[in-house]
Amino acid sequence: MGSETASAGIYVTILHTKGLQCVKSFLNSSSRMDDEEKDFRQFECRPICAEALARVIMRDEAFKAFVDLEERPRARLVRVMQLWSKGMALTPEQFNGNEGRCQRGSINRLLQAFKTHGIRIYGFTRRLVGKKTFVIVDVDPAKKQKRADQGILNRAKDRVIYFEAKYGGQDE
Amino acid sequence: MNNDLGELLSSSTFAEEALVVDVQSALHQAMENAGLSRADLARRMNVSKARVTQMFSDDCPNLTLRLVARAFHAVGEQIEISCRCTRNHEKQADHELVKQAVRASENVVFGDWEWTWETEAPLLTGEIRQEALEPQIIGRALQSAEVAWPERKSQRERRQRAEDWLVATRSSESDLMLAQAHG
Repeated sequence: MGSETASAGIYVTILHTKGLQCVKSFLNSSSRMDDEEKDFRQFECRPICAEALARVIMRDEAFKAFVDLEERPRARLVRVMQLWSKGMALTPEQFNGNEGRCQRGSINRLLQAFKTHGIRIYGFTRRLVGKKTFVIVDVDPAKKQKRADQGILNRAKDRVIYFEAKYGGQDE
Repeated sequence: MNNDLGELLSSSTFAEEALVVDVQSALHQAMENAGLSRADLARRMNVSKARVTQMFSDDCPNLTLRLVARAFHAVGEQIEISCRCTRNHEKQADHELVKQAVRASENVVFGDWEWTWETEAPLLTGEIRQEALEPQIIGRALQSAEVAWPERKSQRERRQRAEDWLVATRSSESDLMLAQAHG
């Protein structure tokens, strides 16, 4: 094999893994994600992960804070969300099933949180678009302290109530 | 958003964290099944409780394979490592896609070519310019490949998506002209 053709072969290998994968993943997976996205735009949410029985979606306002997190905790949190969607057991370090109740009028939801490195991703569980769904409403980036910021905790509860007041009747 | 998450999901950081989270979750589940507390596990492993706590922490700097194996053994479980070898499966599919793409755009981009299993990539024998082989061109090739997709029903939609993608990535006709000139 001549060096010229060898280098061409190597180049195509690079393209093969980067370029083609990029094209292929776009063509193969974007339609499914687009459909999912469309479903949740009405709730001002974006899909994070989905399994057969459950999914996690995130409100746009929370997503802005989420993308500002460092890569490592973000990666960890996404994996924890994937496991939650699969119904796997989560450790107390990964998930807190009771961050308090969100109550107003007929609305009564349990606030829960995915956790890592002191960061808390607040949300609640309900049935939405035909599936058990964890709706993330707020992010506590834990910049000041490792403990939960009470201001953000209360804001998260308000956001749950706002969401439920706006979309509560849908698909429950 | 999908792009942001897509990048994250394909990063080495995610691969690392995903494995750690999976191990922690699996061990937690195994302990729950066996009715063991962390103190029980520490006793069985003959390590301090702090060390077990550290195994479940976010950073878990001590989570070595040896420790993981000992922990699962102490719970009465065996851990098996299985590699999904996603790349191998993808490669097989990619081979076909590349072949079809090359065939479809033979006159446009690639010139003569032959498949080589040695490098698992098309061995290009024609004179080509590297910039002609950008993803946009491959996208164009796939777009024009009639046989590229098994679900013929959605071929038109996929082609449209490819077209949209090409526009979004600012692929221009001049790219194609350049490719043609050196094809």
